[in-house]
Amino acid sequence: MVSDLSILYILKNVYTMFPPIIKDALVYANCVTLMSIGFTLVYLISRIPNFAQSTFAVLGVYCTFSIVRLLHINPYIAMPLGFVLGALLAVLVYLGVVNPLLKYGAGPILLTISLLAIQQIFVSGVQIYADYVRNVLGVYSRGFMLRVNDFRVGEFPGVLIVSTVIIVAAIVAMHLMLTRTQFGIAMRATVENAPLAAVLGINIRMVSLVSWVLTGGLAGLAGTFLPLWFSSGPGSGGMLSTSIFAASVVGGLSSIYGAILGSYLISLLEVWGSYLLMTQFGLWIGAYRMLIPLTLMSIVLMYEPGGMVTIIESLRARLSAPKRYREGAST
Amino acid sequence: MTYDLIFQWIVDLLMFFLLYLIVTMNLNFMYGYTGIPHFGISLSVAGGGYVVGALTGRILRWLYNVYPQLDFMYENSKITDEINVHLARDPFMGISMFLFIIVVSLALNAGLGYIVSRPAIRLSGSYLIIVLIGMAEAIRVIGLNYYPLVGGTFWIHVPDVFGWMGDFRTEGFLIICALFTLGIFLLLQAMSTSPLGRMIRAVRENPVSAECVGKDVVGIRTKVVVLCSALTSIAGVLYGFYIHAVLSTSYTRAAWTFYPWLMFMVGGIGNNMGATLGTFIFISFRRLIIFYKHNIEVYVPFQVQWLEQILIGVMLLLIIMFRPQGLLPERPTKMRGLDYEKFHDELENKDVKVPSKRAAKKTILERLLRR
Repeated sequence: MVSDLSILYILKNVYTMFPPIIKDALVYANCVTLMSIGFTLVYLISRIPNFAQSTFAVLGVYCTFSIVRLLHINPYIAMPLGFVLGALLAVLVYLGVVNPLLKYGAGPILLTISLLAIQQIFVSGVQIYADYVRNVLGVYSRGFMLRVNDFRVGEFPGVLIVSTVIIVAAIVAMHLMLTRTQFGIAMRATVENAPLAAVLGINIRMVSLVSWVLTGGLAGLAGTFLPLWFSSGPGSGGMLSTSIFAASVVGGLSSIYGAILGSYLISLLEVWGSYLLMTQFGLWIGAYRMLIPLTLMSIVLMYEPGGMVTIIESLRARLSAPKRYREGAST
Repeated sequence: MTYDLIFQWIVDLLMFFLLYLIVTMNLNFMYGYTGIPHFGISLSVAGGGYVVGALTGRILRWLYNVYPQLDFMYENSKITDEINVHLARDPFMGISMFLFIIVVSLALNAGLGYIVSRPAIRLSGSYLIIVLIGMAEAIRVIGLNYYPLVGGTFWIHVPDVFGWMGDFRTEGFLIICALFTLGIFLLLQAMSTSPLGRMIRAVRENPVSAECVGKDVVGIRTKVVVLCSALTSIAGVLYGFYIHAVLSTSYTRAAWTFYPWLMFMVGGIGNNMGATLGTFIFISFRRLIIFYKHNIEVYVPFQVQWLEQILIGVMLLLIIMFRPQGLLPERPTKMRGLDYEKFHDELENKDVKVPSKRAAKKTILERLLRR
């Protein structure tokens, strides 16, 4: 019947068939993107991989947990709180540990070890908080999932909508800051050549501090979304970390746009790939899903250590060059 | 406190000291001498443990033909008990099984070390760290989820290959572990004070100039990682035989990567003496905490292990900030065939660091333990 094929009918069909795996993939990708932007930013400016990144996310996770389970109010109030707490923690880490170590002339290895130590300290702190909440307040505090506390717009969970809006806003704000403001240009100058930027009067310490504020804040923000869709606990930062590293490395660790591209690629492939493998071979294979980003990262490092940024740039150069250069390149 | 408790405490202390010393010395050889930041060392320990857990019981069951109709994983403790009865009368089988497992573990973990270091061994430190941390996590995840390997989140029993020692078993196994550790110590010490040791230090200090004088930097680094991964796995094997079980949840990053790093940062980078000292200090400290844990647990509303981890983390941060070279710093390398008496004063006048004059005439023991 013709009336059955009306636009409304098709829309309704698509609407109900919207597979839950896409929601999984998108929420996961949004969280990973927020975190790998920060990871890449700190790597660009200070040249150290920030292994404490996932810790800031755990802080965000427990912000949402406390607000929903202990105070019983709307989970989205945790968003600004997570951002501020993550940023404060990052400032503490930068001023207390990273900056003094850089002043003493410590190399990237010493900084890495100290960041791992910081991760250990903060994760243990969160564990103590979780223990306290369970033993003293009597609220179950590990492996919680707060999907029921989220609002829904039809088929779409609130966290998907809010995190997508936040991601778009963050990317636009980041782009505008880096291209239109004085400070963003100073930031880019520091990335290109830090000593030269310092000679020109750019306050490198301020630039680093802002990069740490952004990385901590964005990771804390990403953490507040996690328990609204996934089962979370003190270990959920470690669960994310492989994806973050893989996303940043595949993105190229040389530009923020690369990190965005890399993290969508990695997390969609991870969720979709594990879903496809699970339908093919059985549910047991889902436990090994962190091997997918790891394998992709290894392949990229072996064949193109520059990541997506290098690949895209070489493609662009090849396409935009006049034809005679393209053919004569090998001779 | 009874005599038995003190004895058990001392045996435990020595045992963990020896096990961690193997890991720390290998880590020191990789980072301190060659400059490879191996942040996934737990994967080699786990590799050794998996070899013990997966192979020992199965092979012995096949050899003795114990309960062939039962499922190996589900009836694990029953089968292991029966194997232990056989092993208690069969010293030859016990020893040959032990040596066989060590050889298999060396071979498998050398291969594993090659595979995990392959993607990033030619890149700079940060990439290598990222890949190795990921790889260690992957090995742990496989052990946790692949039930037939070492029992997933449960554990698998390891037959007691030294059951024939009877009452002397605890001390006997301690002596065997000490011999293995001494062997590894002597091997690494000999390697680090030979021309090879100078070459790997050159690779650490300046890879570009090492390559300029004709050294294959990537090849040397790969060989060092392969060798040290194989040697580290012995710690995993001995650990499995010591506790008579393999537990995949015990190979965490904190326990087998972070603590060994802390130990040799405390002791001093780039010399085996420092690694030994650091390991001893750290292990004594931890054993004391574990011993008094239950006394503290009464007063706080959380598990004491988190407090312990915070303490350890803060300790590491303080060491990195205020004494990055460790308790026993590395000494400049000494070259054979150079007349130090002659150059000593001349170099010292120019403010160049030189080994002390005494270095020329050392006893055999001093030569063995030199830094």
